[in-house]
Parts: sequence; C-alpha cells; structure tokens
Amino acid sequence: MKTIMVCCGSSMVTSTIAIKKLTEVMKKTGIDAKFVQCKFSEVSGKIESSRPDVIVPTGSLDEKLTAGIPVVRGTSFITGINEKATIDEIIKILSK
Amino acid sequence: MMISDLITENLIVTGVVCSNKEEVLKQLFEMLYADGCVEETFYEEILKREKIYPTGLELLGCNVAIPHVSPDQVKKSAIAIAVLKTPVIFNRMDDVNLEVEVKVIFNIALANGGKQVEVLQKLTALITDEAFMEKVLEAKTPKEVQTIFKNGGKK
Repeated sequence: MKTIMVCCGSSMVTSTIAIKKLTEVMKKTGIDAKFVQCKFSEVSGKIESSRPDVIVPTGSLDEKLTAGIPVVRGTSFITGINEKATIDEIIKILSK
Repeated sequence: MMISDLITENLIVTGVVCSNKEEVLKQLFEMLYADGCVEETFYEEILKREKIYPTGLELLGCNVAIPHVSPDQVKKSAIAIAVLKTPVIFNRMDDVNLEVEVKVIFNIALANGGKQVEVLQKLTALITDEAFMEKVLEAKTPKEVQTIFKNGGKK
C-alpha cells in the first residue's frame, strides 16, 4: 500500500480536486494507494505519522518541510495544463 | 448540489474596473456579506491567505483567480464572480513569486469545503474550458453570466 499526501493552503478546496483525480488514476493503473489530506502547515507533523511515498502540494510548498520525500507539484490538477506529465511523474515514483 | 445552485445573479459583477485585486476582493466580499454568506472577517482572511498561498491560475485561455478561505469563515455556501474589464494582478498558486494578470475572479465560499467535491470539480472543468470562459468574458450582465453557468453546468 502506497501513501500519497495531498496538501493545499488552508481550506481543502484544491487538494480535494487533486485527490478526486488521483483516485481515478490509481484505480485505472491498479496502484493500491491511500491518501492523506492536510494543510501546508500540517505537512511536517503528518509526515511523521503517515510516512508518505510522495507529496503532492497543489501550490508552492516550502520543500524544507518535506524531509526528503519526493514532491510533485499538483497545480496541474486544477489548471489541466500538463496534467498528464504530473500523473506520469507520480506513477513513476510510486512504481519504484 | 449543482454548481448553478451556488451562483446567483446578486453575487456576480460584470464590467468591473478596479486598479488592484484588493479592490475587487472587497467588492466580492461586500456582496457575499450582504447576502449573509460569510463572516465579517472573511475579507481580511482572504487577503491574508492570498499573501501566503495565492490563488492566481495561469490557464491556456483566460487567467483566473479562485480566492477562498477555511469553512469557518462561511455561513452559507456560494461562489461570487467578478468579470473584469481590465485585468488585475494576482500571484500564482504554483509559484508565489510569479504574477498573473487575471480577468475573472471566483470567490469561493464553501461551508463544508471538501464535501462539495462535485461542485469543485465542475468549476475547475469550466474554468479550464477556453470556449466556455470566452462566453463568460463576453457577458454584459450578471444575469448573462448566471445563465452561462446554468447551461454550462448541465453538460
């Protein structure tokens, strides 16, 4: 089971959209994954407890907070621009 | 809930001329507040949040911003819309150091954030649809904007 952390600024609006799309992708690709959704300010703490395989912030997240865990920027889930490249990158990390 | 349930004529302004994003956001806040959708502190919270986590989106067609704050600032879910005559500058969601000229602003006020997934998904699908946004930009009145969303939301 893989863990994907999806985070956004404060109100869970954009991360919710990203999770919805990623859920479909995981289903299609057959990757067994669960999601952890949180605010940017909660990332450090949640990394400890959930040990994610990849972190997908929908905006610009300070990478000092991510403890070396791979980060794939997920703004494309909102804009639709280069969404496929984002998905491919996430799948590549999870397939390792 | 459908997206058209959240978009009503009295929460839309068209042909807006403002010199900066603060002015537009103030207008949107005043409409939302008058309609009983948000707390008095909503405007301040929006500005605070834009500073740290901006919401400007550079899209292929029309650039937009989707300012929003946490549900505790919201009493009744709604989406207020400003269609601008002249663009204002927002910082970009994907990189706070970059700026983007925005022509349509969706001030999203959701009382229970993540639970309205379908509405949010529909909204993102519509704002990234170039042909759809072109229609929104051409709309002359709030009523027209509302109708465009009503029809677009059905698809």
